[in-house]
Amino acid sequence: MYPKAYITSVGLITAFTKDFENFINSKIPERDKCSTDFFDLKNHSICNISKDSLDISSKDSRIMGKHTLMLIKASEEAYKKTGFDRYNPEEIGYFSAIGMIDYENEDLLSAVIKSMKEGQFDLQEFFKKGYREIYPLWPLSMLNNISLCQSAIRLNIKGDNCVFTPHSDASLHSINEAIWSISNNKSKVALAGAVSEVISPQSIARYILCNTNKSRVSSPEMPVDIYMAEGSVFFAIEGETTENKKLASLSGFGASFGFDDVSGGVTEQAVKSSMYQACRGKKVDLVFTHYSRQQDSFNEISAIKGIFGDDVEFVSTKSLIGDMLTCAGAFDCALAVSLLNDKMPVFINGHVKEKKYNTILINAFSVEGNVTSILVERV
Amino acid sequence: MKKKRVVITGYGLITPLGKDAIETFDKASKGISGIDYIKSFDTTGLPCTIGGEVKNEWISDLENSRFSKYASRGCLLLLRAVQEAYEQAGLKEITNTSQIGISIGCHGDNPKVKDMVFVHKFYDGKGNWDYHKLQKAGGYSFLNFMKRKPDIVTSIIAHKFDCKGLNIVTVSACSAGAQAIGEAYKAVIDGRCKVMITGGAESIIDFFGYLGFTLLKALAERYSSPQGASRPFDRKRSGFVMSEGAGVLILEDYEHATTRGAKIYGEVLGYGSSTDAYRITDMHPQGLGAVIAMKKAIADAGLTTNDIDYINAHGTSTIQNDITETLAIKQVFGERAREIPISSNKSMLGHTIAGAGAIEAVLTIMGMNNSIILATINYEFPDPKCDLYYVPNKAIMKEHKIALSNSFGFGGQNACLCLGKFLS
Repeated sequence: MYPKAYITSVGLITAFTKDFENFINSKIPERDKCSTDFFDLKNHSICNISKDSLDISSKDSRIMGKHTLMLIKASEEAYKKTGFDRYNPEEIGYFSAIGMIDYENEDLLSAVIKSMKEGQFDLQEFFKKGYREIYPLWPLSMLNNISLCQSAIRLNIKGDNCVFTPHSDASLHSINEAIWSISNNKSKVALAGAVSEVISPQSIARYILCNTNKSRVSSPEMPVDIYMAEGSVFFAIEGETTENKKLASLSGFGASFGFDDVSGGVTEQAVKSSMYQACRGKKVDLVFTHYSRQQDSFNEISAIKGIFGDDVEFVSTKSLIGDMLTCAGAFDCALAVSLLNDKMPVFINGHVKEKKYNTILINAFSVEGNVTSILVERV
Repeated sequence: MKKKRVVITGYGLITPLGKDAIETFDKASKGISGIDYIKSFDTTGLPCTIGGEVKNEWISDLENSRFSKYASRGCLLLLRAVQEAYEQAGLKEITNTSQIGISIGCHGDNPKVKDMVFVHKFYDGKGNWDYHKLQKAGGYSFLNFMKRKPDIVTSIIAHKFDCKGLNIVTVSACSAGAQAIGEAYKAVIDGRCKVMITGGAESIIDFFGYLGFTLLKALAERYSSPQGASRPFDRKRSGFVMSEGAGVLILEDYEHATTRGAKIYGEVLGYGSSTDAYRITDMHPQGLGAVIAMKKAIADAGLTTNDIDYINAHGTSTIQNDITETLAIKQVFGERAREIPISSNKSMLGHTIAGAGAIEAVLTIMGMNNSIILATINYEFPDPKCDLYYVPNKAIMKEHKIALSNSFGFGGQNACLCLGKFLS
């Protein structure tokens, strides 16, 4: 039986809102005003966050990538709202999904340039002068787990923890592991969530090469350009006995794997299995679909209709806010919390019905065939 | 409610010492070092030119497989170890494959120097890129991107071995392998999966791997021979020796394992994880995070410190780790700390980063089954700050039933596994 756990606060930062309080009023930029150049960074949903806004010393910030800043911002918001500082640091769990960490080319390229000799990279030149261009602690900034450790230092969290990466369903795994950590008394409370990739030439190129930029959001037949989005979302998760207000109940989780060699997408069977495990026969009011490549979308719709019939409402947020990849599931979960508390964020208005939602299912896939679903319910 | 038993029904290894678990354990029990001068890339000018490399011939068949185009070398090593564990556990006979999950610690490939050199042609050195020219020139290779993705590993395993259950990748640096096993153990206890393929792998013996750790001053730079460079707890240690390899365990629900008649090799009794929350660049000076992880693992197993017969130390051979780990063990075990045999497999294998926790867990289980406690080799000059019993230089024959296996990651993520000999 799936353990009962509750979301008691949400912390987030995206390109269009700096916290959860402003989430409901946040508007997203209109895409039709953007150019069609995928490499134009202005087209993507870039987060505006600075080291100064988080009161981080210049010494500490030298080994903090932008993903770390976003993770710290969202984690702190969720942590402070619920007053987790009253717990013993060893009793607080911390689980995060972290997207691909790319090298900041500027950190290395000047060293490479200084090490060129007759058009070739020369190791001797590198060790004579090139390497001096690299900050000695630079390697730490590209380790995947460092963001969580830096945030743990700021928040003084010492409990059960794990970093998952970078499947697009990793954020839902992070939430699931936090729930189990509380249910098994390994943590009294936990922070769980995710941070997206930082948008850069590398991440854009990777996105295009994985063929996720041409997604099928409104209809599987019609590919739509999907731009990337930066952001981080974290939840304070607590058990039944919490004194904090319960914003939503996390009541089901499913995970499966199925990759179709022929179509190059997740299999319908895998999507069905994941959703079935999460719902266990419960009626669902709304599904936040993953929707990505064409075959994935066909299979997802077919699986949804197979399980819930033709009447279930489903929508993808990716055409609205962009694709947050590793953080996508967590973002949809934050949106679900809002809707389950009868708050309709401006940007989703018109894309879902104006009605009382009680049960929302969220799907998240990876391009390699992982499928995960989580069920969020009104308290 | 009584906690479920999580048993080990298979294991696999590929390391610089051997192509499989038996060969690795056999050589490790003789105190043989797997460290040598690096052959796979030009180390000219680097202050550390040694490492633990796995022989290419041990994975040559996989290098020509359908997965090799987008699988990193670490992934190929892992596939070899999974194959061994999968066959040993007889997982092929399980028909409900949605009950088989995967939890792996792995970091993916580093970028290659030739990629960086190629990219620099489209950069003016002042922060400006010519993206379109880069795109016209063919851009990055898609396959290289895939090799850098840590999660490609679990997808390939799931695909190749038809595992439809939980599928997660942990990336907590040097504790990733142990954390992956800890997450797998929790999944079996909770009934989320009946069987978990778990472990870790790493292969970053390349220019950027060495550059990064050289900049951090973490690698051994003073040594008279490659084989003598990794010397955990020895006064003349000067850093760790980079290595590559993979370790895999098959964890299974006890009832499930006995019902299908699987042979049981050991048991995961408990798991603890923690963060230091101290400094990114340093361990907590008193080893607080390590203390928490060890205490949690022992408590999770329902045991006391008196029950622990052996500690497989993280023992990296860095100045700081070995002192701090010694301090932490003393805090957890008090006076008993001096009686418990402690050894570091890294003295023979080097440090396999995300693979380390998993490789050491397999060797610990094999040690219990063979009543052999592996040695810490290259222990010549006692360090007054490391004053416990580190099983110096020669393995000992001793029955032991319960062990701890420590893993501490850069940044301050700690994991401790409590492992047991199987007692029916």
